[in-house]
Amino acid sequence: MGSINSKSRIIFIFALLLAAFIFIIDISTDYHIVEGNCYPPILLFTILTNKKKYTIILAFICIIFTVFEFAYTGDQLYTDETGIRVISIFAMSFITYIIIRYRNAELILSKQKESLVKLNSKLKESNTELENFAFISSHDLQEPLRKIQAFGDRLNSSDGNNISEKGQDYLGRMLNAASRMQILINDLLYFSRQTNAITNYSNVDLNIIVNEVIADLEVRIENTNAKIIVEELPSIEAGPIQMRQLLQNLISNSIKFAKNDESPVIKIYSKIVPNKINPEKQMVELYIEDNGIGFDEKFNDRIYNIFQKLEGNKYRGSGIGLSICKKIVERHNGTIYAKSIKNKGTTFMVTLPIKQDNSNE
Amino acid sequence: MNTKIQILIADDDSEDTMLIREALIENQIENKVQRVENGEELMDYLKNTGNYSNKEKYPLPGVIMLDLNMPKMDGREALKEIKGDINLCSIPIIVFTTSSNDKDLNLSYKFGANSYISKPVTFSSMVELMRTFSNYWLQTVDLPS
Repeated sequence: MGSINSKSRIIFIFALLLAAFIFIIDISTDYHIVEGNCYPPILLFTILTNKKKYTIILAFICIIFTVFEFAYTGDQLYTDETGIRVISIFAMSFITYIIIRYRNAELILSKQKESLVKLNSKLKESNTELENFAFISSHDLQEPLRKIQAFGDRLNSSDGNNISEKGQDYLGRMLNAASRMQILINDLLYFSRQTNAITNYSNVDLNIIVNEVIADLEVRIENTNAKIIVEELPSIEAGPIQMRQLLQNLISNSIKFAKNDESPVIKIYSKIVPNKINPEKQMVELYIEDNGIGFDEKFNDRIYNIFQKLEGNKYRGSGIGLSICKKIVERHNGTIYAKSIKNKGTTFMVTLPIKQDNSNE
Repeated sequence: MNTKIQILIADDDSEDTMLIREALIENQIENKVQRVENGEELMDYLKNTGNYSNKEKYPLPGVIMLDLNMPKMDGREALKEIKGDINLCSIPIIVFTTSSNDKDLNLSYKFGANSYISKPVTFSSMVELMRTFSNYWLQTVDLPS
């Protein structure tokens, strides 16, 4: 800011000296060539400064010069000279008005920018706080929970025979609930670590990733008689571990939410499309299409919420899979979107940049 | 089994210590178990200073089970100090913690921990773990004297 201020001051002083120089020439010669019309362009200089006071001061001085010159040379009055001087005073007032308007608009803009920057840093701060909160709290929550499980387990194994059948049932339910909570906390920890993890982008061949995921899910694929059709997929710049997690979650979801009377058929294919904002950059649209139970599209926003389970406890899992997917996709500057028809099937569309913007890192 | 080897547990959590003791008894491991509650006490114990000045009562342990998250001096600092001490560095240290953080894991080995074990959730897995522990540290390996 200091250098801008001193630069403005230099420009102002220069303009002022120029005006004074012209004024002296004008009154010390008999030609009166200046007649005030040199001042408006000099006044224009002040737009290069950063304060409207420079414009106002200079305009004031120049108008005084013009009037003084007129008064000084009044005995040799020419009518056209009067006209020019009036016009230049008018022009100077107009320029001053425009510059003041311009400065005010600039001021509002810079204030808005400042508040945006402030808001942004506040948002970032609260976001980190939230992430840390999730990590720390889930870590600390684990401690007492582990005790409940350990001592419950101990009670069950050492004194289980002395407890009535009803008591054993209660104990069993307690331990079951504790282990469910353990899963929730573990998932929460995993989720919050996803936000903390730094993605090392590398060139990832999605064909290889999909094949690895299918190999991992082999047993479940065999048990459910699932058919997975994979078309040729591109390579993209991404985090390989994250891509694997993303596809694993989406494919295993498709297997999990299959219809009872129909074995799952999952199609995986892709399209290359230009980026909507920057057409020079290419994006890949990755589709994971299934013939499962589907869901009502009015829940489209809710499915990514943490621990959200549209189907209640009918299906296993804590309901964190899609939250992780969304987080991964967002960390890769992409989007995830689902189209679904109840009892017909769901198609997940993941849009990811083929090349990551390094400035976004 | 070498029953002369003393086990020193450094853990602020008395319930965990209780579970470890019970799991050891379950496995008929009768080695003497001592416990300190934080890193400062651990250093006092090992150097026979402060409350632990009695050398007869508090001899150097054969193996240390070290929790990372403790008040005052935590496990990480204690680990660094013990492994940096020429008189103490030969005592095997088993980091026994709830932290499943990669940072803690890598740091522990970097500082010279001999093993890194996550505390198990159920008592039966604790019993299992203590069996493995004694099989290895009390029966298989020769410890420095």
